[in-house]
Amino acid sequence: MTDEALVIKRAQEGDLKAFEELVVKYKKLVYNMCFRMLKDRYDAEDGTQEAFIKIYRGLRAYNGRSKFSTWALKITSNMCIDLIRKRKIQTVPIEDYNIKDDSSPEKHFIDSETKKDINKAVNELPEKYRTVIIYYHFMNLSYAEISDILGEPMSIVKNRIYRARLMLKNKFSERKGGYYELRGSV
Amino acid sequence: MNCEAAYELMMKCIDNEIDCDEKWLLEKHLDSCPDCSLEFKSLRETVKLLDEVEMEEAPEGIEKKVISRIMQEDEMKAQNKERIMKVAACFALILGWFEIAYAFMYASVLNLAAGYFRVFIHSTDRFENILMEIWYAAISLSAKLISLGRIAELVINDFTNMYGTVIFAGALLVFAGLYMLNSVRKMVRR
Repeated sequence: MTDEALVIKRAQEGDLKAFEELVVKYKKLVYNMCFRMLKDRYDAEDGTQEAFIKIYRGLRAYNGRSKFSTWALKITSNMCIDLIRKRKIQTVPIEDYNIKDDSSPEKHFIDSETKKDINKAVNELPEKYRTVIIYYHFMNLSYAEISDILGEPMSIVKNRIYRARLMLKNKFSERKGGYYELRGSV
Repeated sequence: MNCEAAYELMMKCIDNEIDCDEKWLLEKHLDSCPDCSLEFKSLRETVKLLDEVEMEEAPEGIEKKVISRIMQEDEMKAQNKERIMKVAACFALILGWFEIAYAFMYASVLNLAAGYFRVFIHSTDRFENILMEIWYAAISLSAKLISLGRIAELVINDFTNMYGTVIFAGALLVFAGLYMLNSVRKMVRR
């Protein structure tokens, strides 16, 4: 049994310390999914807490067949969809995404202006394309994981990501004109 | 290779899922097709930009908040359970009291009868008096035994009574339903 499987087993038996370890490990993923879906920092923080409570309550149902992260994200995604339906959360585009971190410029290769552009372009995509781009490129999930979370076949997920990339490419070339040429060769 | 197939390979290449043969095919196509070549270049740039967007850090101390909320919820659940148990206990106590009073009713009636019997047939004969005392003791003891038996019966049978009632009611409903169905069927036949 791996370390994580052991921690999960302890959490399943009601060990809150073990569950806290899991929260620490996966909070970034869960928070980012909430933030991307709910499009608001406060809602995302609330949503993250809510999602982890749901995960804790449903922990006994986790059987280890999929990765824990995939299982947890599936719960988070369903919860966010419920929240959006229930509270009718206003979906205003996130313009200030990641700007908070701009104090450490050496970590970032792109300026905030470009970041805003990327976020704007991604947010303008139709919902189903937006979601897969966020999962694949921003959250670094694999095709298999996305297909598991969304409950769609992998071929459809792949196709959706391909189409979304094309849409974004067209948007960027429209918006920035010669932007790509300025950035040098590929 | 046509542009459609090249597009598929471009995506594979971007995802690092392309093998050597496919890469060779793609390069060959890109060399001969300037449109696809430009498309591929800007596509790669787009994906590169997307991949550079980093994930946000989760808010500080969120794990502590989650754990304290879980503990709060658990506490509230335990309190609710306790409350329900208290109400149920009160209810059971009241019901139980009625049952016990009912059971002891027999005993007190018998005791009373035995007492009166002793008072009314009071003899000067000592032997008769002793007989009477034995008689009184026998009656009151049996009365106590009867009431104890009655309580035990109540406790044991409460469960069976409950299920019995449910089964009886169920049977009655099924009977009534079948009867009605049958009469409806008769009416339709006519």
